[in-house]
Amino acid sequence: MINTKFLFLLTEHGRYSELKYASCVARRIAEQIRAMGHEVIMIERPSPQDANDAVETYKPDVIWWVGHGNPTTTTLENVRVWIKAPDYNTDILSGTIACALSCLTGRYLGKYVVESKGCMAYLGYTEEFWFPWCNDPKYFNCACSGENPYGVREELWEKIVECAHEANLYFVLGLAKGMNVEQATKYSLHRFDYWISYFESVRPKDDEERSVIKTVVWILKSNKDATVLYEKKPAPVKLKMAVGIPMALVALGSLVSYLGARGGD
Amino acid sequence: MSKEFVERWYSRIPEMEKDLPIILLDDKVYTPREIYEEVVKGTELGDKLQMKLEMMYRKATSAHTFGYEDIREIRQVAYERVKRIIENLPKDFSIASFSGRIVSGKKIFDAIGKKAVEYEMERVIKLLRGD
Repeated sequence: MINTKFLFLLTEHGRYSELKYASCVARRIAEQIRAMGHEVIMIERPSPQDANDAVETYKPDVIWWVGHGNPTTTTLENVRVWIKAPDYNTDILSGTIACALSCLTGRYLGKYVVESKGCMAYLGYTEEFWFPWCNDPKYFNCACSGENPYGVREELWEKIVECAHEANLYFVLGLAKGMNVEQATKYSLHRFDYWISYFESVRPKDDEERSVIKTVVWILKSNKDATVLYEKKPAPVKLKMAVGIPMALVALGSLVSYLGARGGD
Repeated sequence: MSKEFVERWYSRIPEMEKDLPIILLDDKVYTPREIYEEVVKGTELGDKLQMKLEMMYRKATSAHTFGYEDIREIRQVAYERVKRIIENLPKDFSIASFSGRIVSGKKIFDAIGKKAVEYEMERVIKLLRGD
C-alpha cells in the first residue's frame, strides 16, 4: 500500500477506562505508520457522529477502532452504538478495510458488512477478546504500563499490558508495510505466537508473577484462536472492450490459418 | 532407563514450568522439581515417579499411544495447573474483555478456564517429551 489513509478511533471509556488500554498502544502504532509516510488520522474519544464525520471527511482506506461489541453491534466511547446489523449505519465501512477490536463482531457483523455492505475486508473476533486489566477504581492508570500494582517486574509489566492489543494492531501495521489482508492477518497471528513463546521462556521471580504470565499466555492463545478475517473476493475478471477486440482478432486469425492449412476441406 | 534420564529431562524443563504439576501418581500431582528431587534422593516415591515419568515419556514420544485413561490423567493434571495458577494470582488482578466483562479471582476460570485447560494439556504433552 502506498500513501494509504489510516483512521484510528481512539476510545477510552467503556464501563470504566478499559478501552484506553488498547488506544494507547494504537497511538504508538499509528505514529509508526505515519513515520512510514502514510496519512494517519487519530480521533480521540469519538462519539458515533465524530466517527461518521471522520469517515466522510477523510475517506480512509483502513479503519481501526476499539469498543465493546456483540455479534451484531459495535460501540465507541461510553458504549454508544456505532454500527448495528442489519441496517444501523452499516454502510459506513463501505470501501474500507476494517480492523475491529470489538468482541464477537466476527461472528456476524463482520461477515455481513463484507458480504452485503461493501466493506472490503473485516478483521474481528468470534469470541471475547481478553486483556489484563487493573481494578479501575483503585488503579486507574495501568494502561500502557502507567502503573504497576501487582509487583511484576517493570520490564515484563509493560509487555503484559500491551501485548494482546499490539498483536491485534499488527494487522494494521502489516497493511502499512504493503501486505494484503491475508498476509496482514498472518502477521497479526504470528505476533500472538511471538508473545506466547516469549512469555513461556521467562524465568518468573515468584508464584504470583508466574500466574500473571501464564494467564496472559492463555489470553493470547484465546484471542489468537478467535481471530477471523472476511474479505471481499474480487469478481471474476471480464475482458474490457479494448482488450476484447484484439483477442477476438487473434482468435479469428487463428481460425483462418487453421482453415488455410487444411486446404479448405 | 536411569536417573540420568530424569536429570536430562529435568534440565530441559523451562523455569516457568518447574513448579507446575506434570504427572499424576496415586491421585496426587507432582511437579518436575518434586520428581527430580525425589529421584536424586533415591526414595521409594522417586522410583515410582521415575517409572511413571518414563512410561508417559515413551507414550508422548511415539505417535498415537495415549489411551483414554492417559488423556483423562493429562486433563486432570492440566486442570490442577490452571487451578494452581489462578489461586496464585495477585489480589485484585483482573482480566477484561471488549464485551464488557471484567473478572478476577476464581471467576477467571469461568471466563477462560476451558481454553486454559486445553492449552495446558498440550503444554504437558510437550513437557513430557522434553520439548
